[in-house]
Amino acid sequence: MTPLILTLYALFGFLLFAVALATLWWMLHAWRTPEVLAATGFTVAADAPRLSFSLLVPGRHEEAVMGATLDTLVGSDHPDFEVIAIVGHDDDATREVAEAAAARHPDRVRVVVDHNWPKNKPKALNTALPHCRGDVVGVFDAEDEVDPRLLRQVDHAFRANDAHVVQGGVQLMNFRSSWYSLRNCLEYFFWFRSRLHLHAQHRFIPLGGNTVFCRTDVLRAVGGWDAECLAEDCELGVRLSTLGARVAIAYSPDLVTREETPGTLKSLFKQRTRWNQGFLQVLRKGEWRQLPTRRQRLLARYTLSMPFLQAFAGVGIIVSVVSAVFLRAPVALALFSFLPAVPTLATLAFEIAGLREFCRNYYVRARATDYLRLILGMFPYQLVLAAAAVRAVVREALGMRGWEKTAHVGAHRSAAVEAAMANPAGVTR
Amino acid sequence: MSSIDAADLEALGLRPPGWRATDPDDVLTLAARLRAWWGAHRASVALLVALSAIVAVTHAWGVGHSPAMSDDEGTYMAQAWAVQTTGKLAPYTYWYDHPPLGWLQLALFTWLTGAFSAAHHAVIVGRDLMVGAAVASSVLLYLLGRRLGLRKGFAAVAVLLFALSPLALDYQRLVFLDNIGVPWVLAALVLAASPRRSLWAAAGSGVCFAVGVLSKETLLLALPAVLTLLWLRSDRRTRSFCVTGFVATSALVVAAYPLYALLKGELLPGRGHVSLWQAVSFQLYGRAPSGSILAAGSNAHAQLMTWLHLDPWLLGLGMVALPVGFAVRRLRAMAVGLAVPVLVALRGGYLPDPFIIALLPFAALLVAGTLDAVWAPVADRFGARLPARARRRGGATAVRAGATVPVARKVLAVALTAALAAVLAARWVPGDRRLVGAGPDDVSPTWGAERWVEQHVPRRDRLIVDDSVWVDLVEHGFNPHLGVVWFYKLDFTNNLDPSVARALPGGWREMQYVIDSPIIRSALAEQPGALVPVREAIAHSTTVASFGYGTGVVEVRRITPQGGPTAPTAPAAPLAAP
Repeated sequence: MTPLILTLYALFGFLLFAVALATLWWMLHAWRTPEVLAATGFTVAADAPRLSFSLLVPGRHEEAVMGATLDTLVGSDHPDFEVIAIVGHDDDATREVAEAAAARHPDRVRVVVDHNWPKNKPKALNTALPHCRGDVVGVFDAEDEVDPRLLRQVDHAFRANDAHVVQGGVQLMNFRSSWYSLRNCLEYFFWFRSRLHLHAQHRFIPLGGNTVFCRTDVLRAVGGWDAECLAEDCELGVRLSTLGARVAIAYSPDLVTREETPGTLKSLFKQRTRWNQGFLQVLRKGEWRQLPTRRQRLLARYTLSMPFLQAFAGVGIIVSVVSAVFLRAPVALALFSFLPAVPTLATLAFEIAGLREFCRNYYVRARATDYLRLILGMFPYQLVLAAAAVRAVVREALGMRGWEKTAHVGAHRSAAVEAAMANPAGVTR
Repeated sequence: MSSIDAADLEALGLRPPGWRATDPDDVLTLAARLRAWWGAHRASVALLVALSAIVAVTHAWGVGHSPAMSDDEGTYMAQAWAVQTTGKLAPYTYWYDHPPLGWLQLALFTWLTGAFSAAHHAVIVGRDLMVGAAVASSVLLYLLGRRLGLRKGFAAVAVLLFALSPLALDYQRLVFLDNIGVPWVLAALVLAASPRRSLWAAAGSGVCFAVGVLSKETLLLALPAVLTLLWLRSDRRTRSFCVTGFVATSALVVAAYPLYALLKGELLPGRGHVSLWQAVSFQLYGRAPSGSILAAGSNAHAQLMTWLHLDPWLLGLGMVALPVGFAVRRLRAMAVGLAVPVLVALRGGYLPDPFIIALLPFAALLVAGTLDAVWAPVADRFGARLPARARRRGGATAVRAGATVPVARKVLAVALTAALAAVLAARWVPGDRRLVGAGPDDVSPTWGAERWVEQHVPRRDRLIVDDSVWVDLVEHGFNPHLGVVWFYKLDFTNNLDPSVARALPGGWREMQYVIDSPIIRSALAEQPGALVPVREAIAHSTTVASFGYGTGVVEVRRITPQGGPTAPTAPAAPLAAP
């Protein structure tokens, strides 16, 4: 092998190592010291609630779950809130369920019909925004299982932190239903229990899609959600971060919003593609360049490209090790090619510790088979993530021209013609 | 978002897009942090500088004369030489005798300093690095003592015990892998006792520990101590992550060693190559056990006597302090660190000479920690057992105890320390004086023999040597490949590397000279019946030059396979002993 190839190879290996190490480090943010763990933990809200809430629940072809979700939300122990169900003008089944709920709880539930076309979640949310009467807008998905004590906690978090935004916890719960669901659940666990706090601390946060709360006046001042972004939640977080918004995290294992993993591997794959492409759109849109400090911009650049880095690292490590061994590279080089595997295997070790913690938090007993599935699932899951990342890049590249146009007109203005060109299918839930 | 009004945003507590804030790092600059750090740690830094100076002087003074060279010193220097000059792990086939990280660090040092040359003796070069290692160990021992809650004075006592015992001074000067590994293990302990109980410190501790173990595998015996410390000092809420961090990093770094063997196809035994498996089973089961350490006449007992002859006090006091160490929570890990290797030594099996090195820091800290515990019941942040008990006895009692008992305790602790200082000064000064140059010069006969060989022996001749002169002769032009040969490589029954026996089927008859040294003689004495080719070579040779006297004599002997000197290159007259 020539020195040039050797150098490139070494650089590649070191890059993979750095990516995996940084990802691991940030994944473990909450456990850095006991003080950080305590600070990112749960503080009980003992004082009386003072804010009012407008809870938005967009639903599309979700008549099966919508009614129950609205009923649960109405059951909240907070004194002052309204629930706004947002349904499409072409979706009569969901609309009927929503209106039935409104009839059951006329003082709490209203229905807003979204006439935009094509439909997506940010457009639905923007449609409902003028109808919100509360101090705070909260967003939930139609299938969410929301804890009735959550709103009081969020109320407290807003006031205690003088926050503009409060992100509540979301947790996938069905970790035994398929081989990938365990890893999917753990991803959520590490993200909401740990990583998100790092982002809040550095005041750069890609918000989640639900159980997210924002002051209504702030939301109106920034023009609501970006109607053309596939990751409108992340985009809003980034945009608010550039304006110096204070974000508080209200995470407690008892109060998380419970969700389920995508039912099939294919839907997981599609969901991940959408997220990745959304992150890529936010990255290209470049709002993050407006972040006030260099460290924030670095974190933003890294986080928004993270799905790709992570996915490629997972595959790259295997490729580099296999090539080094099979190409009969010099022993020193072959040894070096294992360098990126070190943080990867360390990640696996911490995932084992994380699974233990997850099960303790949610009062389940971890079984040996759970740990086995965690270990065996690592590589295939990484492959799925990598494939989703590649698919996202390809799709984004194909739709490039359409995207360039919307970026210039300002993403909050809805333009149906451009959207038709730019917006790939599968946007709405 | 240009439509947003900046005034609107400010009313909401937000900032207009494009505003720039200062990084926290810009406010708290490195200089400011260093100033703050200096303000907080001035006294410790001054104390450490003074202690380091003492350690550096005592260790460096006379390092070229004493103690007598050990064969291993030459082996490791030769291996470092091979790394630096040939890119291989050993001048002969590397047979996994030890993990190579120890002499890789040696090679880094010699490469950075350009120390291998005809002008320097290789072993002395290595000993220079050992002085640095001793200073590093001392600094880390002080930090560890402080992190265990010892007062500055008692942490300093630990360093002085550790560095000034003649036993420690003697062994810490030798180019032993243990001396390279011990600072790493101490660093692992310092990090495991992180006051912030941080996850990265636990992971860093794992890396340091792995480097220590890859420098000298016997340091694995310190694992229970490090784990105990990590367990006791970590917080209940983050403990599983800290332990995971330690275990994952240390295991992954250590795994590089079997991985290396695997990539070379030398993990498992096979025809025609060495293997890690064989080497490990040789070290664990193949070596002749040294017998019981308590049975007079056994090798282990003789080894123990060698150590205790240099200084029985440090180890003895450490054993006396052992029960206190187990009773006092903050010292418990140190007690484990001393107890585990002691138990392993008692169990029997092969007892290597440098084994003692890894026990000394634990013994020193146990003694100093016991004095500190006498001074005052422990009230460190993490393991406050005694105050808790005092609280249970009732607040009033505790307050009264806090007001009166410590004075008596302090007097007692000072008296004990003073008595200890007086006793140890009387016992240690003669031993230390001998080591810093007042005693006989144990090394220069070897240099005399080297010089004679360099001046009188043709470079194409083959010599049987001990490892300590190997690099020097190679640097003076002798052929590293079968020109100068380590004596035990001739005996293929005693080592796992058949390369020399295969290359020289005639064995000792193909050699022209043997440099007979105390190292070779003691090896012959320790292994009766083994090393037959070396015995034959010496028996069929005549002295052509002799240096030193008594048991320290070093002779250059010309081999005469048929009996009677036939040397074409024999010097006109043997040099007299200097």
